[in-house]
Amino acid sequence: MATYVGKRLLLLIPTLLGVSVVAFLLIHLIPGDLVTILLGITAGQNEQTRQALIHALHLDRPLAVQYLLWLGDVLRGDLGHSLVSGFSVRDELARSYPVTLQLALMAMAIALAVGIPLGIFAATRAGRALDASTRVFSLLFISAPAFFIGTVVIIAGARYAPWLPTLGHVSFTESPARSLLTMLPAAASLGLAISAIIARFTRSSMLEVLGQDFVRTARAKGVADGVVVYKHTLRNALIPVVAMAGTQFVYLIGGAVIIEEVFALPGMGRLVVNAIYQRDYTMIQGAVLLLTSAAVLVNLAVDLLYHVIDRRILYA
Amino acid sequence: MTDRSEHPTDLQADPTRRAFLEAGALALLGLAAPPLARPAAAQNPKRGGTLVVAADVSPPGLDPQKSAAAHSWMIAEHVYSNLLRRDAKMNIVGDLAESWQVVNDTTYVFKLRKGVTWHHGRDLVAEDVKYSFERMLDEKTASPWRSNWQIIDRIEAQDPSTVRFVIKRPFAPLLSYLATPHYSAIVPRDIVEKSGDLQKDASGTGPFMLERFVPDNTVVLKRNPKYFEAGLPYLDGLEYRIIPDEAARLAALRAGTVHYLWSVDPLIDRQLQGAAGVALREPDGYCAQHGMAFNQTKPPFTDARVRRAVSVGINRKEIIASVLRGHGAISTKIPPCDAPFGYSGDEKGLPYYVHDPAQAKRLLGEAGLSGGLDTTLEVSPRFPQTVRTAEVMKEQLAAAGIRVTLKQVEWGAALKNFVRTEYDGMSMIPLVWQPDPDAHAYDIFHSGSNINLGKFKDARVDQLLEQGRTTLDREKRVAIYRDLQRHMAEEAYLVFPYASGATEALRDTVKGYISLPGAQPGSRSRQFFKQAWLDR
Repeated sequence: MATYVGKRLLLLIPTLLGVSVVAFLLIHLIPGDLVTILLGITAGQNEQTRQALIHALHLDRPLAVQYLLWLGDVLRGDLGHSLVSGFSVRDELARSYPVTLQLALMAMAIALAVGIPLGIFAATRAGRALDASTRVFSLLFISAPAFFIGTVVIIAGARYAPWLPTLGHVSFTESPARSLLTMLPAAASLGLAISAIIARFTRSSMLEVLGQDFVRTARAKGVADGVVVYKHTLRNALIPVVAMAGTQFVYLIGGAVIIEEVFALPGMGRLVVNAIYQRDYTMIQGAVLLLTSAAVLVNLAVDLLYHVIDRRILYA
Repeated sequence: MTDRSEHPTDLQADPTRRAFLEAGALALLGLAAPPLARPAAAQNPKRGGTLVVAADVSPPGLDPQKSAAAHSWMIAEHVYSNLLRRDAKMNIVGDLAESWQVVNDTTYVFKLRKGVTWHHGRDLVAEDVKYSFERMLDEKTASPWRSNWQIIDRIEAQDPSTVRFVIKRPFAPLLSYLATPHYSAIVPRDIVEKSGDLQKDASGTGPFMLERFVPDNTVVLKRNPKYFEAGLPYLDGLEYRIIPDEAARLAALRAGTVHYLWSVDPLIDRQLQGAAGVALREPDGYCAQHGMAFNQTKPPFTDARVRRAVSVGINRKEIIASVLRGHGAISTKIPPCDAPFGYSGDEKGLPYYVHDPAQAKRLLGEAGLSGGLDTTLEVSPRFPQTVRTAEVMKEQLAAAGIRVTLKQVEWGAALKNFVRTEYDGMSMIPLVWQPDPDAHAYDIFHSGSNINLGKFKDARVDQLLEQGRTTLDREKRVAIYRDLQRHMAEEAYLVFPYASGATEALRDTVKGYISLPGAQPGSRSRQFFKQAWLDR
């Protein structure tokens, strides 16, 4: 197990290198350039000003040199400074990532807490009214995009409950309770959309397992219904659900851009999208490193979780 | 309370008047001014409260000398002061300068107010003024305003409250540049040296002091109790909440969690009409134009007749009525809010401005394009209003035999293509207000400039631009820019479909607020938040 984890972590190094090269090349391939965006079409834009700025930002060096300069800084533990604002990239990531992580964790907690029980109810009452109403719920939240639900929440909140904090962000370290409360509408909008998918998944996975021989055997032995469902069936049905939830979580920790925009959360999604709009190369590179590492680590955690759910799954 | 800011003295406002105003004389003028006629005369301003602004974009740093972003200046204009500023009627008046003297065409002497302190406690001295301009001129600062100030030959701090500017040649826009917040904020050397720059740290001499800046989240400013205009500001603070989503901003205004927002889309301000506790302000003036440039490095737009066909092929009145729902005006590059420099008449007053599809077809025929013309128009979906304008223009031009294919391009690329003339046929972007007719026109029209939109060369345009820059007499300058605008319309080098304004929305508890034309978001300046107050 330890060797397995070690190997997976070692793989992180070539992954990060490869992703950073690809990201670096891709962002330079996008038409439009940083200096024009920085200066805009203002009276200040003359050739001398341009050249001074290009030189100050090292953009006059060849691409390969720019990449190696950046890599050298990274190896020394320095992610550099934003080309747009001059802010430290590390500080900016440290500021925005916790917001995204908190949103992802809250959304996932809501998704699992709502989705799995709903899926179980639907599976054990397949074909009955409760199953049908779960299906309506799922369809509603799968088809309505999270930002639409978010906008409805905000507008309804402003109209009928203006005292509720629906917008803005309080950092967790400043006040945990208020932080959780202000993020709840955003997390719920995201979480409910994912819970709908999880509920559907759990239901079908449960139904499949419930139809298997060992479940019939257990019932034949006279095992209580609850034990059959929760001990024998659920454990086996959860593997695909966990795999699916893991993918959703990887998506969430990349920053839910639209939800962050709608609810004005200063998270990673907005940071990255703005950096791309502005061609802020160093900021994009730093963010890509962080997001890639996070995605690799979450995937590893999900793989390890399989073993926790089913001890028969081993890692060599 | 005597509010000097509301009372421009004509002596100060007139840059050609070479009167040296002694400090005492000016103070006398200020005190002698009649009491301010406030719109809500019955109400006395109340002190206290924090005005919350819903901002759409987070400032990419706060340093007014490093950032060319309007969302940086929306904060900096409250934190820093300038030597000069504009009053509510757009006259140039003293800010940190108590008085000034134009010694000759190239020498200006400014007397600073006494007893002005920085937010971090130290006294303001003439050296700070000298340092501020030298910092922008220093190549290492990479300031976007460097080229504006290359006209400066030297600055001398003659004593702690006297600073002397010597410029290389007569330069008509000098005083208006000095009165423009983002071009000429006076910054403290000690804080710049301590923090490296002023992107996150700030200390000025303005009415509000920076308390907290969390990018993508909030900027909190608090009242400067030692602000040099006694009694101002009335508010305890200003808070900018960054809310990128328009629906969310409107909801926050409705709920009363924010007091103010700008740039309400002309098509959705109806949502707010009749909302309880919300007051809509129609635009005070039309300052923000749209500009459409032609690629004149190759046919067909090298032919003036083809460009004129486009100009008469579009129906400006119809665009204003539909896209802007009437909130707009006929414009050239110098917008009507800058009259008398800007054009402020209807479409009949300028050549090739009146909609005439038959004339367009005739012009195309004369240019050998009797079968019509196929061309492209690049716009960016970042600005939905631009796209809507382009869609209406496409329909109108089709009736004139000009078949336009719209190309939607990501903003970074669209801007670069526009600035460098790297599009195929035509390209249109929103343009912003500039502090002087010279700033509006010189860099984007002059054939020697690297911007020179559309890459046209016209000796007459260049000559008028040079004259406008060096003629100090205001009446003569107005005439020069009138000639320039008429000539530009005659040749249809660019097409300006309209000038528009930003509808502002406020809670009705906000009193005493006025906005000025400016380059801050929505082409407004909100320096007068310092005399706004909350009726709580």
